[in-house]
Amino acid sequence: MPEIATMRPGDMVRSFVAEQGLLYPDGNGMVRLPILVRGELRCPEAISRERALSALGTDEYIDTGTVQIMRRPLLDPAAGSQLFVLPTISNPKELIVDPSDHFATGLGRLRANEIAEYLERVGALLGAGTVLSDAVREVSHALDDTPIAYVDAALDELTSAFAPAHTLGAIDRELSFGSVPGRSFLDDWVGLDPAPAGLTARLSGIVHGGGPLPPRAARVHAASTRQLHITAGNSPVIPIISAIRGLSVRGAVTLKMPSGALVAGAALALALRGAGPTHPLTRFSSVAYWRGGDERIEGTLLAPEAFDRIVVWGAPDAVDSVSARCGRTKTLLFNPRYGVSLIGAGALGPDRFHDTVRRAVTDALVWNQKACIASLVLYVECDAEGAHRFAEAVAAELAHWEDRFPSSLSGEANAAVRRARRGGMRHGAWYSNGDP
Amino acid sequence: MSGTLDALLAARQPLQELVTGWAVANELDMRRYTRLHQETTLAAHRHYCATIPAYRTLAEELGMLDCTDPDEIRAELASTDDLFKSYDQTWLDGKDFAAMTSWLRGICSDPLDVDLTGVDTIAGWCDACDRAGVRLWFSSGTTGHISFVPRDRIAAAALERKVEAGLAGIFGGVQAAAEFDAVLLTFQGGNQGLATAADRMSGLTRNQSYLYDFPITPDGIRAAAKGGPAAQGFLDRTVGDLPARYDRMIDAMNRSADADHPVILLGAPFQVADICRRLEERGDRIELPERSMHFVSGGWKSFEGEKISRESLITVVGERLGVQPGRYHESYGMTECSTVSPMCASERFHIPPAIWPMVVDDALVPMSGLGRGRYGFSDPDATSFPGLFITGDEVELTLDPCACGRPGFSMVGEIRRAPGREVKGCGGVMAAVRG
Repeated sequence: MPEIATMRPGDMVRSFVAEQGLLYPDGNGMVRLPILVRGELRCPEAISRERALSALGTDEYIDTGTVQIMRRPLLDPAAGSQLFVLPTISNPKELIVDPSDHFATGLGRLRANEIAEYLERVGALLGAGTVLSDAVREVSHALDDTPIAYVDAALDELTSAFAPAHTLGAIDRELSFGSVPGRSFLDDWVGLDPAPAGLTARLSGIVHGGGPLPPRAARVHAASTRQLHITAGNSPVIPIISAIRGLSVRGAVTLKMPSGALVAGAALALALRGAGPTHPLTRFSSVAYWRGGDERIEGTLLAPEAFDRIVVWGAPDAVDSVSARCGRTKTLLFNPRYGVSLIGAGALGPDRFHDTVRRAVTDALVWNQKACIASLVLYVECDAEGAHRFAEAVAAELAHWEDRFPSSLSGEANAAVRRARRGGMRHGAWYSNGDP
Repeated sequence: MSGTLDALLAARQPLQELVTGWAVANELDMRRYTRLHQETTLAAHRHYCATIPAYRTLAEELGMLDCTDPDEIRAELASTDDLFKSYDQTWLDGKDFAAMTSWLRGICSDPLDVDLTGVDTIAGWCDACDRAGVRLWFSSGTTGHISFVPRDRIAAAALERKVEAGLAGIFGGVQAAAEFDAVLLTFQGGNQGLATAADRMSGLTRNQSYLYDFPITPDGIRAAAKGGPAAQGFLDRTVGDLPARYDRMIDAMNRSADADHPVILLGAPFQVADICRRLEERGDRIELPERSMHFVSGGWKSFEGEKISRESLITVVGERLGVQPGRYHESYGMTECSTVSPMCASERFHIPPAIWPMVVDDALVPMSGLGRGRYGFSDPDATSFPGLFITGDEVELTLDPCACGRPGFSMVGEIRRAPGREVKGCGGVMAAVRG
C-alpha cells in the first residue's frame, strides 16, 4: 500500500484515494473506506460485489473477520444499493492509548496555536471542492433524502469551522476561568488567586500551634484526556465537528464513525493522516467503525480506565446502551430530542404574519428537519381558524423551499407519513406541500 | 338505517354461503370470493365515507370519495391499529370523557348521543356508550394504552354470532358442546376478546369455572399496566390471589374428571403453562376425560420475555392434563376483527372467506404476490367503524394448498409483531394480572 506519509496534503490525498479506489463507489456500487488506528491508515481488502452479497445474504451488515460490509439502499429504489466495505477491528485495544505516552510523544506539550494550525490543515483537506468533500457530497446525494443544498452549505462551512480563529476562539471561551482565556490553560500552568484557607488548613494550625496554613497560589493546567466519541449520522458533519472539539483540547480521540455517515468518517481519517502523519494529534487519533452494541469491541472500549471521557450522540437506544455500560467514566450525552416553537398572538398579526411563517419554517428546516434543534411542532396562540390559516401558510412556504431545493423523501420517511396519516394522526387536518 | 348501511349489509349477505361451504365442505370458489369482496369493499367505502368522519376526511384529502377501485381503496384507505387508540391519553387520566366521546365520534358511524352524567371511570364511560347503542371492545398492550373498537348493535351481534359459530365448530356442534365443562382462564364478562369468547362458551357448555369471577374493566387494566397506587386494588383482587385462583381451576378440572365430563380449557398460552407448572410443582397430574380439549388464544409472548413454544405447551398439557395433541385448538384474531382464523393440524391459520386478507409493506402498500408483510384485511362486518384494517402483526400470507385440504388464504410460519409495534393482545391483558 502506498504510504500517505510521503504525500503533501491535497494533491497527494487525491492520488492516494484514486490509487486505492477509496471513498467513491466503483462501477458495481462498492465503496471502500479506510479507517485510522492510532495514526495509521488501514484500507479494506478488495472484495467483489458478488462475494460481498454472498457474505451478506439477507442481512444488512456482516463482519467477515477481515472486512465489515454494510448495505445501504439508494434513494432511487430501482437503482439498488451501495455496499460499504471497511477493515475489521480485530483488536479493540488498539483503539485505546496509554496515558503515559502523552508527554513522551509530545501530545501533552502541544500549544493551542499548534493545535489550531493542525486543524486548519485538516480543514483544508476536508473543505468544499476537495476530493474528500466531493466524496461526501456524492454519496450523500445518492443515499440521503436531505437536499444537496444542505450538504453543500455544510461543507462550505467546514473550512471556517477549522479556521484558527474559530478554534482558538472556542478554546478561549469554553476553557476560560474567570478572566483567563482558555488557551492559557493549554499552554501553561496558570496561577490563580489564592483561595482562603480551608477547614483542614485551619485544623493544621491547631495541630502545629499558631495560625492556619497560609494560602498559596494555585496553578492550573489543562491536561490531555483520552476521549471516545460515538457519533451520529443524521448529518455528515457531526463526526467531524465532534472530532474538532476533542482535538481542540489536545484530546487523544477515538471516534466511532456513524453508520449513516461512513464516508464523512473515512474522509476525516484521511484528512487527519494527510494533515501530518507524525503529528501527535494524528498519532493519538483513531477513526473506526464497528457495529453499535458489538460487545467484543465496546466491552473493551467502555471498560473503566479505557477512556477519560466519553461523548455519545445518537438515537435513544444507542445513547441508553452506552450510558448504561460506561460506568463512572465521565460521559457527555447528546440525547435525541426535538424542538418546538411557541408563537404568540402578537407574531400572527397582519403586519408580521408572513415574516413569522418564514422564520418558523426556517427554524423547522434545520438540517432538513433532522437536527435536534429543528422545530418540529409549532404551537400558535390563536383560534382554530387562525391555526388552519397558519398551517396553510406553512405548507405554502415549505412548498416554496421544495421548489428551490428539491428533495426526495426516502421510502422510510414516506412510509412513516403514510402510517401516521392512517393511524394515530388520522384525526388531524393534513396540509401537504406536494407529493411525496 | 342509512341507505349505505343497507347496501353494505346486502353486499355481504352472499358471503355467508361462501363461509359455510368453506367450513363444512372445504369448498371455495375463488372467483366468486374475489368478486363478492370487491363489491363489499366498495359498499363499505361508500358507507364509511357517508358516516365515519375520520375515514371521510382522508378519502376527501386523497380525492377518493368517488373511487370505485376496490384495490385502490384497500391500498390507500385502510387504517392501522393506531386508529383505535388515536386519542390523547391525558383525557383518560383526566376523566375527560366528553373529549373521549368526541374522539370516538370521529371513528364511528354512530352519532353517539351519550349521556355522561355521573361518569367518572373508563368502565362507566363504556357503559354510557353502550346505553347510547355502541359497545366498546377494548384491548391493551404492555403500556396500558387501550384500543377502543366501537361496535353498534349490528356489528356487536355479528361478532358474537361469529365467535359462537367458531366455538360450536370446535366442539363439533352445539349439542356436543353441552356435554363439556368449561375452565375459562379469563374474566367473567367485559368487552375484551378472550372474555367475549369465554362468555359465548359459557352459553354453550354444561358448567363453567372462571379464573376471575368478575368482569374485566379497562380501568383495572390501565391501572395494572401503569402501576402506582391506583393499581393496588385491582392487583390485590387478581395477582395477589392468583395461586389460589389457579388451585381453584385445578380443583374444577379434578371435579370434571371425577364426573367424567370432558373439559375445554381456554386461556392464553402462558396461563395454561402456569397451571401445568403448578401441577408439576405439586407432583400432580389430572387425567381429563378423553374428549377434553385445550383452546389457546391471546398471543404467544408471555409479555415477560419468556417465549413458550407451541410444541412444548402441547407436550406439557398432555403430560399434566392428559389432553391428547390432536385435541389442541388455536385461533388467530384480534379485537378489531369479527372473524377469527382457526389453526389446522399443519399449523396454518386459515382465513375464513368472511374477510379479504392482504399483506402490506412498511409503507402500507399491498404486496403483490403475497408473502411476508404486515397483515391487513377488509371486514364487511365492521359496520360502525372502518373495517379496512392493517394490524401490527407480521405474517406470511399464502394461497398455496394446505395438507389439511382447507382452501383459500392461510398464514404459514410464525406470526410476530411488526418492528416497532407494541406487544399487544388478550394475552397482554391477562399478563397484566399475572404479577
